[in-house]
Amino acid sequence: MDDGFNEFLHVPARLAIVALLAPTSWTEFGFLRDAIPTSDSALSKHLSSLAAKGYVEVRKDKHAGGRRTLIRLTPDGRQEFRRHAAALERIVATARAPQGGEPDG
Amino acid sequence: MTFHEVQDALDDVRRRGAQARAEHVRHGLSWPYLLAEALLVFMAFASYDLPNPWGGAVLLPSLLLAMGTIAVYLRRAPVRMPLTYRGALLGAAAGLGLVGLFRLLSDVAGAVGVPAPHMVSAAALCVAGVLTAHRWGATVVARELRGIDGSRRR
Repeated sequence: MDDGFNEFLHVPARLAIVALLAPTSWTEFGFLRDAIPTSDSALSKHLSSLAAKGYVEVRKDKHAGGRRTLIRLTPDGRQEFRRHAAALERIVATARAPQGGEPDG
Repeated sequence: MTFHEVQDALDDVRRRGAQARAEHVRHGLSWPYLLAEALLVFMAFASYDLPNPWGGAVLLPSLLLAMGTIAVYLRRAPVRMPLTYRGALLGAAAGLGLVGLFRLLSDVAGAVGVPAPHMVSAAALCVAGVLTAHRWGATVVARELRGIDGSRRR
Protein backbone atom coordinates (compact mmCIF):
# COMPACT_ATOMS: atom_id res chain seq x y z
CA MET A 1 0.00 0.00 0.00
CA ASP A 2 1.09 3.59 -0.64
CA ASP A 3 3.44 5.10 2.00
CA GLY A 4 1.09 7.96 2.81
CA PHE A 5 -1.87 5.65 3.36
CA ASN A 6 -3.04 5.91 6.97
CA GLU A 7 -5.01 2.86 8.17
CA PHE A 8 -6.11 4.69 11.30
CA LEU A 9 -7.59 7.61 9.37
CA HIS A 10 -9.12 5.38 6.71
CA VAL A 11 -11.90 4.17 9.02
CA PRO A 12 -14.94 5.77 7.26
CA ALA A 13 -16.25 7.72 10.25
CA ARG A 14 -12.79 9.09 11.13
CA LEU A 15 -12.06 9.99 7.52
CA ALA A 16 -15.40 11.80 7.31
CA ILE A 17 -14.57 13.74 10.50
CA VAL A 18 -11.12 14.88 9.37
CA ALA A 19 -12.39 15.66 5.85
CA LEU A 20 -15.06 17.92 7.37
CA LEU A 21 -12.45 19.57 9.61
CA ALA A 22 -9.83 20.00 6.89
CA PRO A 23 -11.06 23.25 5.24
CA THR A 24 -12.03 24.87 8.54
CA SER A 25 -10.32 26.51 11.50
CA TRP A 26 -12.87 25.46 14.14
CA THR A 27 -15.97 23.30 13.74
CA GLU A 28 -18.83 22.76 16.12
CA PHE A 29 -19.53 19.30 17.55
CA GLY A 30 -23.20 19.50 16.58
CA PHE A 31 -22.38 20.24 12.94
CA LEU A 32 -20.04 17.24 12.73
CA ARG A 33 -22.64 14.99 14.32
CA ASP A 34 -25.40 16.09 11.95
CA ALA A 35 -23.22 16.20 8.83
CA ILE A 36 -21.84 12.64 9.14
CA PRO A 37 -24.55 11.72 10.58
CA THR A 38 -23.84 9.89 13.82
CA SER A 39 -24.71 9.92 17.51
CA ASP A 40 -23.14 12.10 20.21
CA SER A 41 -21.50 9.12 21.89
CA ALA A 42 -20.10 7.64 18.66
CA LEU A 43 -18.68 11.00 17.62
CA SER A 44 -17.18 11.54 21.07
CA LYS A 45 -15.43 8.16 20.86
CA HIS A 46 -13.94 8.91 17.47
CA LEU A 47 -12.84 12.37 18.58
CA SER A 48 -11.19 10.87 21.66
CA SER A 49 -9.30 8.43 19.41
CA LEU A 50 -8.25 11.20 17.06
CA ALA A 51 -7.22 13.44 19.96
CA ALA A 52 -5.20 10.60 21.52
CA LYS A 53 -3.28 10.34 18.25
CA GLY A 54 -2.72 14.09 18.29
CA TYR A 55 -4.77 14.68 15.15
CA VAL A 56 -7.48 16.90 16.61
CA GLU A 57 -7.86 19.47 19.36
CA VAL A 58 -11.13 19.75 21.30
CA ARG A 59 -12.11 22.96 23.05
CA LYS A 60 -15.15 23.58 25.26
CA ASP A 61 -16.41 27.16 25.26
CA LYS A 62 -18.66 28.41 28.05
CA HIS A 63 -20.79 31.47 27.55
CA ALA A 64 -24.01 32.99 28.86
CA GLY A 65 -26.16 30.99 26.45
CA GLY A 66 -24.65 27.62 27.30
CA ARG A 67 -21.65 25.61 26.23
CA ARG A 68 -20.20 24.70 22.84
CA THR A 69 -17.66 22.09 21.91
CA LEU A 70 -15.35 23.10 19.07
CA ILE A 71 -12.93 20.86 17.24
CA ARG A 72 -10.07 21.52 14.87
CA LEU A 73 -7.29 19.58 13.22
CA THR A 74 -3.83 19.94 14.73
CA PRO A 75 -0.93 20.63 12.35
CA ASP A 76 -0.02 16.92 12.59
CA GLY A 77 -3.60 15.92 11.88
CA ARG A 78 -3.78 18.23 8.87
CA GLN A 79 -0.51 16.89 7.51
CA GLU A 80 -1.58 13.25 7.97
CA PHE A 81 -4.92 13.92 6.32
CA ARG A 82 -3.23 15.56 3.32
CA ARG A 83 -0.81 12.65 3.01
CA HIS A 84 -3.65 10.16 3.19
CA ALA A 85 -5.78 12.05 0.64
CA ALA A 86 -2.76 12.26 -1.69
CA ALA A 87 -2.20 8.51 -1.25
CA LEU A 88 -5.82 7.82 -2.21
CA GLU A 89 -5.40 10.00 -5.31
CA ARG A 90 -2.26 8.10 -6.32
CA ILE A 91 -3.91 4.71 -5.82
CA VAL A 92 -6.86 5.75 -7.98
CA ALA A 93 -4.59 7.26 -10.65
CA THR A 94 -2.45 4.12 -10.74
CA ALA A 95 -5.51 1.89 -11.05
CA ARG A 96 -6.83 4.03 -13.90
CA ALA A 97 -3.53 4.26 -15.79
CA PRO A 98 -3.67 2.28 -19.08
CA GLN A 99 -1.82 -1.02 -18.84
CA GLY A 100 1.18 -1.54 -21.21
CA GLY A 101 0.14 -3.40 -24.38
CA GLU A 102 1.56 -6.72 -25.54
CA PRO A 103 4.61 -6.29 -27.78
CA ASP A 104 4.10 -7.08 -31.50
CA GLY A 105 5.39 -10.33 -32.88
CA MET B 1 -8.95 -3.05 -0.73
CA THR B 2 -10.67 -2.61 -4.09
CA PHE B 3 -10.44 0.30 -6.51
CA HIS B 4 -14.07 1.18 -5.83
CA GLU B 5 -13.50 1.33 -2.09
CA VAL B 6 -10.62 3.75 -2.58
CA GLN B 7 -12.61 5.79 -5.10
CA ASP B 8 -15.56 5.94 -2.69
CA ALA B 9 -13.26 7.12 0.10
CA LEU B 10 -11.83 9.83 -2.14
CA ASP B 11 -15.32 10.91 -3.20
CA ASP B 12 -16.31 11.12 0.45
CA VAL B 13 -13.29 13.29 1.27
CA ARG B 14 -14.29 15.72 -1.48
CA ARG B 15 -17.93 15.62 -0.44
CA ARG B 16 -17.13 16.43 3.17
CA GLY B 17 -14.97 19.40 2.20
CA ALA B 18 -17.79 20.75 0.07
CA GLN B 19 -20.24 20.20 2.95
CA ALA B 20 -18.11 22.26 5.33
CA ARG B 21 -17.64 25.08 2.80
CA ALA B 22 -21.36 25.11 1.96
CA GLU B 23 -22.27 25.40 5.65
CA HIS B 24 -19.84 28.31 6.09
CA VAL B 25 -21.43 30.20 3.19
CA ARG B 26 -24.99 29.30 4.21
CA HIS B 27 -24.52 30.56 7.76
CA GLY B 28 -22.57 33.70 6.86
CA LEU B 29 -25.07 34.78 4.23
CA SER B 30 -28.19 33.98 6.23
CA TRP B 31 -30.79 36.71 6.62
CA PRO B 32 -29.90 37.95 10.13
CA TYR B 33 -26.28 38.67 9.19
CA LEU B 34 -27.15 40.12 5.79
CA LEU B 35 -29.69 42.47 7.36
CA ALA B 36 -27.30 43.53 10.13
CA GLU B 37 -24.55 44.24 7.59
CA ALA B 38 -26.97 46.11 5.33
CA LEU B 39 -28.04 48.24 8.29
CA LEU B 40 -24.40 49.01 9.08
CA VAL B 41 -23.70 50.04 5.48
CA PHE B 42 -26.90 52.08 5.36
CA MET B 43 -26.05 53.90 8.60
CA ALA B 44 -22.55 54.71 7.39
CA PHE B 45 -23.59 55.96 3.96
CA ALA B 46 -26.87 57.67 4.90
CA SER B 47 -25.12 59.67 7.64
CA TYR B 48 -23.66 61.90 4.92
CA ASP B 49 -27.08 63.58 4.68
CA LEU B 50 -27.31 64.30 8.39
CA PRO B 51 -26.29 67.74 9.64
CA ASN B 52 -23.42 68.00 12.10
CA PRO B 53 -23.05 66.60 14.72
CA TRP B 54 -25.57 63.87 13.89
CA GLY B 55 -23.49 62.53 11.06
CA GLY B 56 -20.75 61.57 13.49
CA ALA B 57 -23.22 60.42 16.11
CA VAL B 58 -23.99 57.24 14.16
CA LEU B 59 -20.42 56.10 14.68
CA LEU B 60 -21.01 54.66 18.15
CA PRO B 61 -24.19 52.71 17.32
CA SER B 62 -22.50 51.44 14.15
CA LEU B 63 -19.53 50.19 16.14
CA LEU B 64 -21.81 48.53 18.67
CA LEU B 65 -23.83 46.86 15.91
CA ALA B 66 -20.64 45.67 14.20
CA MET B 67 -19.21 44.25 17.41
CA GLY B 68 -22.52 42.63 18.32
CA THR B 69 -22.83 41.02 14.89
CA ILE B 70 -19.29 39.67 15.05
CA ALA B 71 -19.84 38.32 18.58
CA VAL B 72 -23.06 36.56 17.59
CA TYR B 73 -21.43 35.15 14.46
CA LEU B 74 -18.47 33.75 16.39
CA ARG B 75 -20.76 32.23 18.99
CA ARG B 76 -23.19 30.64 16.53
CA ALA B 77 -21.17 29.74 13.46
CA PRO B 78 -21.07 25.94 13.16
CA VAL B 79 -18.01 26.21 10.93
CA ARG B 80 -15.27 28.84 10.99
CA MET B 81 -12.97 29.22 8.03
CA PRO B 82 -9.49 30.74 8.21
CA LEU B 83 -9.15 34.12 6.50
CA THR B 84 -7.02 33.66 3.41
CA TYR B 85 -5.14 36.31 1.42
CA ARG B 86 -7.55 35.72 -1.44
CA GLY B 87 -10.54 36.19 0.86
CA ALA B 88 -9.10 39.39 2.32
CA LEU B 89 -8.33 40.78 -1.14
CA LEU B 90 -11.82 39.92 -2.37
CA GLY B 91 -13.34 41.57 0.68
CA ALA B 92 -11.25 44.71 0.18
CA ALA B 93 -12.17 44.81 -3.51
CA ALA B 94 -15.85 44.38 -2.69
CA GLY B 95 -15.64 47.20 -0.12
CA LEU B 96 -13.97 49.54 -2.59
CA GLY B 97 -16.51 48.61 -5.23
CA LEU B 98 -19.34 49.33 -2.80
CA VAL B 99 -17.94 52.76 -1.94
CA GLY B 100 -17.42 53.55 -5.62
CA LEU B 101 -20.95 52.50 -6.51
CA PHE B 102 -22.36 54.51 -3.63
CA ARG B 103 -20.51 57.66 -4.72
CA LEU B 104 -21.71 57.22 -8.29
CA LEU B 105 -25.32 56.65 -7.26
CA SER B 106 -25.40 59.53 -4.79
CA ASP B 107 -23.78 61.91 -7.33
CA VAL B 108 -26.41 60.97 -9.90
CA ALA B 109 -29.21 61.23 -7.31
CA GLY B 110 -27.95 64.65 -6.23
CA ALA B 111 -27.66 65.83 -9.83
CA VAL B 112 -31.27 64.91 -10.65
CA GLY B 113 -32.54 66.61 -7.49
CA VAL B 114 -33.39 63.58 -5.31
CA PRO B 115 -33.89 64.73 -1.70
CA ALA B 116 -31.41 63.17 0.77
CA PRO B 117 -29.43 61.63 -2.10
CA HIS B 118 -27.00 59.74 0.13
CA MET B 119 -29.81 58.15 2.12
CA VAL B 120 -31.75 57.15 -0.99
CA SER B 121 -28.63 55.78 -2.69
CA ALA B 122 -27.63 53.89 0.45
CA ALA B 123 -31.10 52.36 0.73
CA ALA B 124 -31.11 51.27 -2.91
CA LEU B 125 -27.60 49.86 -2.63
CA CYS B 126 -28.39 47.95 0.56
CA VAL B 127 -31.57 46.38 -0.79
CA ALA B 128 -29.82 45.35 -4.01
CA GLY B 129 -26.80 44.15 -2.06
CA VAL B 130 -28.82 41.99 0.34
CA LEU B 131 -30.80 40.35 -2.46
CA THR B 132 -27.68 39.79 -4.57
CA ALA B 133 -25.66 38.39 -1.68
CA HIS B 134 -28.45 36.02 -0.64
CA ARG B 135 -28.90 34.79 -4.20
CA TRP B 136 -25.14 34.41 -4.67
CA GLY B 137 -24.87 32.45 -1.42
CA ALA B 138 -27.64 30.09 -2.49
CA THR B 139 -25.86 29.56 -5.83
CA VAL B 140 -22.53 28.83 -4.14
CA VAL B 141 -24.11 26.35 -1.71
CA ALA B 142 -25.98 24.61 -4.55
CA ARG B 143 -22.78 24.44 -6.60
CA GLU B 144 -20.78 22.95 -3.72
CA LEU B 145 -23.43 20.35 -3.05
CA ARG B 146 -23.92 19.65 -6.78
CA GLY B 147 -20.23 18.85 -7.01
CA ILE B 148 -20.93 16.12 -4.49
CA ASP B 149 -23.64 14.61 -6.69
CA GLY B 150 -21.38 14.78 -9.73
CA SER B 151 -18.69 12.78 -7.99
CA ARG B 152 -21.21 10.21 -6.82
CA ARG B 153 -22.41 9.49 -10.36
CA ARG B 154 -18.94 8.32 -11.44
